Amino acid sequence: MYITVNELVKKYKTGIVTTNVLKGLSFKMEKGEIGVILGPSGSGKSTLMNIVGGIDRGNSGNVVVDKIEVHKLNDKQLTNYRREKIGFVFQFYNLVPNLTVGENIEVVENISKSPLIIDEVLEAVEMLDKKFRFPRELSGGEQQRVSLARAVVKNPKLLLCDEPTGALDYTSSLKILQLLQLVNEKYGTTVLMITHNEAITAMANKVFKLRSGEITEEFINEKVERAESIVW
Amino acid sequence: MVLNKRIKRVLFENKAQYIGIAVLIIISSFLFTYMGQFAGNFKRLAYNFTENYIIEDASFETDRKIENLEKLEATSDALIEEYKTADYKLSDELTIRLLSNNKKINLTAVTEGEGLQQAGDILLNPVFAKSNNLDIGEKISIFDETFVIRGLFAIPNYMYILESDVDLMPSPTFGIGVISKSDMDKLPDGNVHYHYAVKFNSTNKGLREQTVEYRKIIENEGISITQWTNADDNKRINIVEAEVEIIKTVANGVPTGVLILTIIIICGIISRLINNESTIVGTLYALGYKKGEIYFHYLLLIFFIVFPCSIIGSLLGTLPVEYIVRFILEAFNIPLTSIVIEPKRLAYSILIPVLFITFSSSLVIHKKLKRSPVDLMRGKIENIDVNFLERAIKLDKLKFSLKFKIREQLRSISRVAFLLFGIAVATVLMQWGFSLKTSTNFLFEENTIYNFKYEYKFNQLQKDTLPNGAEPFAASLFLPEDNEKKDFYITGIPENSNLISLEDESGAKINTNQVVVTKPVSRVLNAKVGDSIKIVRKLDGEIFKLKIDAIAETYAGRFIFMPLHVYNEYFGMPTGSYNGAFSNILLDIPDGKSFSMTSLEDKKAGAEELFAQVESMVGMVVFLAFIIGLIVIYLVTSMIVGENTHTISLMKIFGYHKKEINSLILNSSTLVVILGYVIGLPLTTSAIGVLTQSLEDSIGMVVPPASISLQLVLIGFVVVMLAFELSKQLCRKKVNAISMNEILKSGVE
Repeated sequence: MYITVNELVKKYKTGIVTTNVLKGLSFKMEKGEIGVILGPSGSGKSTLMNIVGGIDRGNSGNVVVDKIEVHKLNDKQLTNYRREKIGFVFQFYNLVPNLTVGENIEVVENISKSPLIIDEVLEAVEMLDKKFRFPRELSGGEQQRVSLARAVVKNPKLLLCDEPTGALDYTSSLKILQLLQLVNEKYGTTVLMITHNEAITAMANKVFKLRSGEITEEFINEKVERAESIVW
Repeated sequence: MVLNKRIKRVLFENKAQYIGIAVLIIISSFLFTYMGQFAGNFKRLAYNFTENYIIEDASFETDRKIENLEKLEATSDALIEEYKTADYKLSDELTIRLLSNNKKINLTAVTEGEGLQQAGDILLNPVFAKSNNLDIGEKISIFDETFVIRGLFAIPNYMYILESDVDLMPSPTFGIGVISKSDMDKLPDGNVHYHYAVKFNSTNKGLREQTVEYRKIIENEGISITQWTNADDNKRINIVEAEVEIIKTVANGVPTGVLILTIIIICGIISRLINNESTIVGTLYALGYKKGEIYFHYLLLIFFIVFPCSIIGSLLGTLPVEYIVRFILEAFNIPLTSIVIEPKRLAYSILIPVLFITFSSSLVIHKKLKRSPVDLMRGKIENIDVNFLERAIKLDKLKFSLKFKIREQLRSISRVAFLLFGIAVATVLMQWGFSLKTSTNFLFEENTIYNFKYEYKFNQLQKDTLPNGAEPFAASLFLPEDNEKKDFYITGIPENSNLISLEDESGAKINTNQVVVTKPVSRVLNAKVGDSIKIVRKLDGEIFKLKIDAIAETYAGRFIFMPLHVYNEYFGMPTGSYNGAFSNILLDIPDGKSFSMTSLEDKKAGAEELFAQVESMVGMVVFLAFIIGLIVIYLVTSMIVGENTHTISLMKIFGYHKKEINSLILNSSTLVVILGYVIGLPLTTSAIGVLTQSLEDSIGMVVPPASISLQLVLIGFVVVMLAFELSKQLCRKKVNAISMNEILKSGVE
């Protein structure tokens, strides 16, 4: 098993109020799969992904990714874990505004042990011709493609995508989904994606439905569709 | 308005940043008050002293005594007083000049103890008495007469106590004492010199006009004036005015520099604050707030910092005024009658920062609030605009870390400009502080042309052969044809002199068998080698022409050297005569010969003692420069961290280690800091140049060109880099405190 999350609990305490965000949640994914976590706002999707990605810690439970016991890592080890294993794609792209497209990708390439070639990755996301543009000069869809290229350049084992199409129109969204599928197939990258959009589950191997910090439904998609055929 | 409740919160959210600004404002108003009140008090004390104790308009010497002074006064509409001086060596090092107590002009002001009571009483100048432990009530022996020190005193024609008019600064080994005229009459004749002080009565006629008329009256009596010195040309008097000018220049320049820095940084911060809050501002517009209300809100925020800080700085600035006035009066012998804090000047010191900062900020706020509510609500559009430099400069061949740092700087030109300006100001201030010390070293160690220990001046022409180790010279004062202030000596010295050593620009020795002008003279006359110059003998106004054979690269003084026999022949002096001697040995001069002797070693020792006091001032100036540099770098680095919150958060998510992030973000200003320092160096020489030029123009003082030694350049660099490292250390905490959640909760495009 590539990802094993077992009895994961996360609570936030604000003053005298304690909020249970994740209530002993468990799930598993195989290497090279695309997983989609589906759920409404406040269901704990992002918290779950942050803990898997080593940005946050659970209060109890186990998280194992590629045989690494993430829940046992100290801050420095967590930094190395993120640095070596994880690629992130965010809903609002989060590109560095004063760096060009190529330089934004270099931000990650610079600290990777065996990165892919930047131009090849840009070619793959069809952004090579805009390598010297600044983020401000790109559309939302283009920015998200750059964000994807940035995540992919380190050749991560696990790609975590937080609502990657949440801020995009249909056509741009479809392009991003195609690219995610391409990365998954070409590099064997495991992809875990958060979304509100149920239609996206069509391209996933596994789907986890989350509500109030618990997985209410989990199923294996026997008939994975090509991203370009998804309609909503 | 309820909105104004947040002002305190905004300030507390960014405490360190606003504290930095507050300190700059406090420094600025502190300096405005402190230096302004200092200049005001010094000027007032000097003016009151010269007015109340009737300073001379001129002093002169004649070939014979003027017998009927009352008659001269009646015919000339001027007061005249004969006074006598006599130099006496109290020990090998100490020389005292006795002055007779005047009744009409250059009156004695008793600053401590009592005035002259009876025969055998003497008053001393305070610095000389203090430096040599001569207490009131003690007895001293002068010319075999015993004098009782009755008190300490000041006198207007010796406000700056120079032994000789070619001296640069006072020496604690030279002092003045005043004794009664009857006591002066008891001293051996050969040692006493006669002088006359004159004070013109007419307020309608100009000083020069009265001088010319007065000289004619005396000469019509068949008396020849052998030396005439106007008070304006007398360094013992006119340097006070020059000092006031210098203090005024520094008093305006330094605080203005700090104020400009403060204005730039406040404008930058208010601009960024409104950018960051543009969504809120847009929403407030949408809710019905008027532009004026929001404008007033931000202006109030600025006023909230500036006004109290300006008051605090100005009040603090009044505290050291007395200390600094006392300090400067160690060099100038002027009675400290009172210290006055001028309310008008104090009000200026408070209001100038308030008005300028508020006005500049209001322009920025106005510009920022001009955008439409929709634009404002869209958020930080301006922050992510790509400027022309970012677009124009190609960096793709560089290493990522260097590329990132350059991009970071290119992102905000105003920020870079502020950092450059701030470091340059700190550098100028620091190097100016250093120059106070180096200029002394230059004048007394590196710049000397003298290879002798003693300088003798005789009151009558001499013809005797001097022993080995001594060389004769003859000197008299001349003026350029068009400049009465910048007088210079023409000195006849032996051909191939061993005791005067001159070098040209390349360091090659110049032979003294020709007409050699020193650099300051060539500057005054605007002359080069081969030029013929017209000069005026100060004594009688006779005009001469001289051809320049060489220019000596020295700032030891304004001199023209020529062979002694040529000098005598050209200026009509008896063959083989001289009126002074340079010597490495003490000369055995027969009794009855009137002369004065100066030891160069004593002068140097005295100057060094005086400049030891300046070192504490240098330390203060360098410390102030360090603080300004630290604040500027800290504010800019804080801004960089603030603007990069998202990037830092993102880097943390991507797995950057703290050290890597700190290196990329905090070190991004290194090049700009170094560049600011480099720019500051020529600015320092220009600033000092302006200051010294004004000194030269106002009193004709010889000032060496401003130069900065490599050693001090390196020390200054270390100080600046230390401030940079310290500010990075302070900002490191901020970088570490930025959480990864910053990027996760951000919902902006």
